[in-house]
Amino acid sequence: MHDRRQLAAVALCAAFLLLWISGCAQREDLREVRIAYLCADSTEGEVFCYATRKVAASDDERLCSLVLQLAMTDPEDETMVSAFPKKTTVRSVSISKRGILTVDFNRSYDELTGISRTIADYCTAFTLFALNSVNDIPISGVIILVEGEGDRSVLKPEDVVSSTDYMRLRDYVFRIYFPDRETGTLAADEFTCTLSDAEQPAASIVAILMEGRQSNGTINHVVSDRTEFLGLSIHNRVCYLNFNEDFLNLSIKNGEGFSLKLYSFVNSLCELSYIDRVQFLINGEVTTSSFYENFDTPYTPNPGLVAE
Amino acid sequence: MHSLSFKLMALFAGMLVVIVVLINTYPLLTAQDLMVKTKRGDMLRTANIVSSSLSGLQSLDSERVTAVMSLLDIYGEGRVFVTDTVGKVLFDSSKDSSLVGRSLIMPGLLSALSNHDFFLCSYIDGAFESSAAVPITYRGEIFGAVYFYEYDEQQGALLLSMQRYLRYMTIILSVFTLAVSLFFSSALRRRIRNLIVAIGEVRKGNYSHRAPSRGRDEISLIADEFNELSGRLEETENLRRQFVSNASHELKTPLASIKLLTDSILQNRGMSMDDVRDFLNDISEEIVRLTRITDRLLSLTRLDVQIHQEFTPVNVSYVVQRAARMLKPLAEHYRNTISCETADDCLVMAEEDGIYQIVFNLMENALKYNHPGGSVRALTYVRDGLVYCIVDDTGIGIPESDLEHIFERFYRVDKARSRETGGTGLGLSIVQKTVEEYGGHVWAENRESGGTRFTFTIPALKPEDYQLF
Repeated sequence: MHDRRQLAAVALCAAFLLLWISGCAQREDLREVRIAYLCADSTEGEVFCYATRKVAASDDERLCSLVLQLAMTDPEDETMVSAFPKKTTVRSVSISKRGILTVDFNRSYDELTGISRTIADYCTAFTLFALNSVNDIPISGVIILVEGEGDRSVLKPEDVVSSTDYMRLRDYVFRIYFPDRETGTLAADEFTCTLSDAEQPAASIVAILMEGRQSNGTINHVVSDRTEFLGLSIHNRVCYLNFNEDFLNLSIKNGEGFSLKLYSFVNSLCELSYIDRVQFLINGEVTTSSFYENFDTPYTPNPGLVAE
Repeated sequence: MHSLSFKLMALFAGMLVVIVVLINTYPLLTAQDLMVKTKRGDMLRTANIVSSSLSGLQSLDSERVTAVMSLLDIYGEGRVFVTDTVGKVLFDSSKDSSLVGRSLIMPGLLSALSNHDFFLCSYIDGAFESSAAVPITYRGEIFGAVYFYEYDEQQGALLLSMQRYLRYMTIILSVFTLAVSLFFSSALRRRIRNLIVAIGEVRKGNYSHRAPSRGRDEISLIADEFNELSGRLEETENLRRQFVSNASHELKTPLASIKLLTDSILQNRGMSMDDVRDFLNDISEEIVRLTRITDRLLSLTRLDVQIHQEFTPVNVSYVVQRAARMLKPLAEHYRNTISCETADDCLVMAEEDGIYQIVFNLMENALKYNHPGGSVRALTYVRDGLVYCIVDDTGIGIPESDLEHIFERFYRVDKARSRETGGTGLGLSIVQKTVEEYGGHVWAENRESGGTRFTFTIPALKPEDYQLF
């Protein structure tokens, strides 16, 4: 009798524990996703339309399959339609360690030809890229196969020109500061660049500094060759520059002029009217460094370093 | 809020708003439409030329397209893309920020790849953003598309400067119009206020007040009419006052005589019966005179109010003869002769009593103011559609200065003689009023041979109207 009671109590606790665990799991997997559709009136205005849905999945492949199934179904909103043929199904979704998603559709997907196929491809890519990351790895590309076969080219959202912002070009004159190791100052150099409205002038400035080629053709390396620029964003007049860890190793390698190189970025970017400070990130994180003073805080330009 | 100037200002402002809106929208919209149409034609033409040039390639690749496109330089400030059927950019005319290799998924491209020409233009932020797309076909099969994009800030700036100039013009026009409307409405308000003030003054009894009148517009005409009206009122008021004054005086004289005579009888206890009878006779004569004055005043009042009487055909000649017969004893009294020369057809539309009163008064005056042994002659005839009646006498005549006043009420040439003869000063006024009531005219003149001639004319009854009676 006593054992029976003990057994019942243990079973009850186990049931509660199971319920609690499953509840937690469900809460963790319920995600808001953005599905790409074809706009119903795509001959004017936009081609791609987006709808937000909530889905719950037990694993990443399942999540990808679910969002793609949603993309294959016409949404309730009549202003958008699915870009996929009716009988299209996802056979499998796999994720590589480098964040490449491979989606395998059934034969129905082959019914699409020409620009319709391109639209469906990018509806897939946009929908999957909107997940930001699966399995904690950022999605870096999408490969689409039909029953395991097909072109294995990697699709990226930035490959699509779907707005006239990419076509409208403007000339910009940038004042970029390169380090002058001999004098320990920053030398101003002017560059005239033609950019589309879809391109960020700040990214263009960073690209010039990363390349290290001055306007007179002289190579002046600001960062090491292995340093990778992972992106930038601007919030509240602060520009967040994201590099890989090699950005930190630069001073050790070159051994001098580290602050000059740092302020090459800061002073150059702060020439833009909408940037006041620059925050450096390493692999997307705010980092401290023994070589850099206050590396974990945004830097303001240092006009004292600029050569007269 | 209810003033005329406010309403006028509101009207001007309303009209101004309409004009301003029209000026600032219609020309701009028309210019914009014209620019869009021009762009449509130019861009589609250019895109079609590119498409035709590429259609000979039969299939497209970046290298061959670039080779062909290098021979064409027709797209000016625009940017031309050539894509294959999946939307992949094979050629981009811009060397900067080239989109070659990327997928162009634009609404225009979808239309072009569906074998439809496409054009879209929008005017945003002072620039025309235009897109045109056409398919590249070979033997009816689509194997690519040309997408032409243009961002035109020059024409946008032209439109903006036009808008700016229109705005300046509008501001100048608005200020000018408001100033002019304010000036005119104030002037109008001032003139109307003057008119209102003048009306108020006349209403208070100040008939001599005149409204200022300048120019020849409607308000000046109203002011002129008002001044004319107030002038008449003033004249009438003066006449009324004079009449009341005269009538009072005329009535007072016999009343004073009666009072004096009755007081004499009452105070003189020893007066003989003969004297009393003489006094009573005098009182009786004064009463007769009073009665005559009041009768004539009543007649004039009746004529003044112009109570319309029923007119009938009256033969003036017959009336003249009757009056002559009636006045024969008076003529004998004054030892004058009276004669008539009358025509038969002197018919007028009038009242017989009225004509009789006219003729009787004129002939009686002619007898009363004649020399003993004188003569009075009455003459009637018809000429130019008028019946003429002339009464001549051989009397004392009327001084030229008095001739124009003799028809005024209570006007007497010789006051003493007039009273002696029992005149009231109203007879000729009654004559004039009565003649005018019949549409006629009366005047007096001195005869060269001495004496006075009174003539009155009344429109003759036409022979064709005889049948009606």
